[in-house]
Amino acid sequence: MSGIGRIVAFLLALFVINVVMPVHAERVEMSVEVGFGGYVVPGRWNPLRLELLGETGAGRIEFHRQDRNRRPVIERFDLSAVGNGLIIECPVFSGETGSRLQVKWFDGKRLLAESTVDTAKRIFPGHLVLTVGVPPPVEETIEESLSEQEPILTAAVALIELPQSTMGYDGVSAIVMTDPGPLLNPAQLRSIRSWLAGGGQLVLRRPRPGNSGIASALLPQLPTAQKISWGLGKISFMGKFDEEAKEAWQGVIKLAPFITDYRLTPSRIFIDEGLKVSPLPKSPWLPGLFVTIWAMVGIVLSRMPRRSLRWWLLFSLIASFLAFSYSQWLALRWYRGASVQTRAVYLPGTNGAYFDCHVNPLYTGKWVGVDYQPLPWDITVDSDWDETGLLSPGKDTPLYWCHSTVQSRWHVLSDDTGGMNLQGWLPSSLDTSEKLADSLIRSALSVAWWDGTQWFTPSEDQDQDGWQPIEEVPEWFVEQNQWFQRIQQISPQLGWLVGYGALPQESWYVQKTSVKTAWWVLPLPVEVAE
Amino acid sequence: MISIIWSELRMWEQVYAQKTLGTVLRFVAVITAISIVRPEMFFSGAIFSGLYLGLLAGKHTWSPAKPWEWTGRGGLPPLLVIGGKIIAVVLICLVHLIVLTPVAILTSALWGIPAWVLAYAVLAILMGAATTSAWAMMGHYLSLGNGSLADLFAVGWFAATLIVPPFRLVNPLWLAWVILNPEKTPLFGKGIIMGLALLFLTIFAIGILMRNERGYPFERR
Repeated sequence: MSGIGRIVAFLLALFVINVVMPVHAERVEMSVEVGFGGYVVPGRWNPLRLELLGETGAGRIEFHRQDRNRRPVIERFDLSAVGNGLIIECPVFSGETGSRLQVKWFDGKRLLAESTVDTAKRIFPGHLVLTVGVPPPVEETIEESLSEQEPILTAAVALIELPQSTMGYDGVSAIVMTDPGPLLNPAQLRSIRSWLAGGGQLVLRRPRPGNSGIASALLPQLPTAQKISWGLGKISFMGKFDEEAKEAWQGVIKLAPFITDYRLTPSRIFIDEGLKVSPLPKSPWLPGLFVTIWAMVGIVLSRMPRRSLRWWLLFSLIASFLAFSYSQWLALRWYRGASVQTRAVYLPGTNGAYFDCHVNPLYTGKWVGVDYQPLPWDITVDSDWDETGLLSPGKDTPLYWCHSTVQSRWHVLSDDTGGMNLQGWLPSSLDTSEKLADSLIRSALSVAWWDGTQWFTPSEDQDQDGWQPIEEVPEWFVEQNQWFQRIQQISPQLGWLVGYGALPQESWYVQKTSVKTAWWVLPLPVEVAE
Repeated sequence: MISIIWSELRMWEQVYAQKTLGTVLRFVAVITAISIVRPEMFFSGAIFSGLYLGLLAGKHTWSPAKPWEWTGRGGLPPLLVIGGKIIAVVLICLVHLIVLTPVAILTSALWGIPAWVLAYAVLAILMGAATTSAWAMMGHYLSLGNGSLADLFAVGWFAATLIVPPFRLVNPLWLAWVILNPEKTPLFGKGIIMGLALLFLTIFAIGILMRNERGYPFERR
């Protein structure tokens, strides 16, 4: 065979080898557990714990369920790391009547394992009290004593089963825990602190002294009293007391009626009623205008009689510079035509914030009669925790959310018409509420202060510092009124700083374009605000 | 080879630059202006522009001499001649892409297209232009210089790779979709390797066809 022939044969072989794809198979197992003790609380986020056994290659996990409007919701985790066994925690929102949840494990197009959980048969519409290391007779006493006030279910969980995600505690009203010592991991501790700040109740049974107790890991200082407050929540340290007596527990755990239990927790504060979707200026003709002007200059250039390649290059250079400046200006106003609406509710203290984001990508699918594959939407949340997700349109499926990490802090509540509603929690990077409030006020476009009785706005008079009372509710506030009203009911004794503007620490990027504004709420004790 | 590249570029610049640059600019402007400079539309426009340039180059539209003239009179090896012409069309295509840069910048900023996607797209466009040029050259050669098969071969390879699923990886249009779809992006490298393999196969095939033709095949026949 000649030299050329050998090269041809080699290239031909390369071409053929690439066409034929190798297929590899592995024995795998998957176990799925939703809620606590098999029960889920309807209308709340519930933890989902997925355990993958066997070699996890570069496959993917898909969660399929229906939202409260019966629209399909798909979340997806790409498994990039190869290893033996993996645990994924993914809080899922359960509808009022429960939902059917499908978990699928794919290797490429091949379905490796599938599991279906029907939560409709295991819903509990009442207060859920978690018990950790509590003897069964005491559990029964807790359930019996509190059920006289409200429907209550106690669920015994192991320490390791306590969710690492803050969202996983959404449906938990109280935790009764025999002090295990400082054994919880940082993610669990952070999540419990945030849950407490939002109004959770933790009862530590038989607390260990000093640094050998869980309090040393959970709190910045060792407690000096039997009951201490943490944000809107409280921690009770119960040493020796009559655990078998019903009355004892009724004094320790106070539960509000389940229906009106407005704790600062995502399912209770982010309600859609009254949320006005205000799309940003889309201006789809603006990019076209630039292209048209560019083309017209180019056409004039192409009609010039003389040879003019250098003119073409000069034209390209100037047009590129203009395109760069123009596109930067345009991108800030456009977000690919999306409506992005973000709400943030800060937890008291420095316990992070809950976020709710509605992203409605408008320009997917058909445009001027051409039906082409819509592009995935890239959304990045940049704080101390970088997380990127892709809102990706499937060919025969609706938009789905693709997580960049298995330790995700953002999850899909619902698949709105044409868009997606994401909820999540982010930690705070500022030391104190005062610093956070200062930072929010400085960057706010609109801000107001409600002290429980009256509204105040920043004083416009340069000579007068501080806030001035106003007779009427601010107009911009009325637009968001129902949402804020719900929040006010949570704790009437608190003051609330409310506003619209940039958030100090978190940066949202939709298609690499920073989303500058959000509605936010910061609870502040009146004395702190003053 | 350098003299072949230089002569192709000189002739294109002197006679055809205004025409091809104007045509590409108009085509891309229309297709992007009506689609809010959507990247898939911009990439499609740029790819079809590359195919157009590849076809013209494959038919030796701006060549001062045909390949068999270079091999016959100049005594140059066929592979060198074909290689030179392919490199010339790649360079000409690059000049057109420079003119399209403002729209690429606009597309990139508005739709969040990272620089690496643009770089991949440039690779796909150049590969598409080069492969089209090679197939058109083969058609041109087989039709004894009258170019009747050039169009058929140029459109044929593109259509065949688009229609037959296993060969889609080498189709520039499909590659553009691959790079805009993060799930599929890992396939791009494979597509480029296969595309280059196909390009070199085509070049070698023309080389083999021309190997025994020393001089002026069409005059001899």
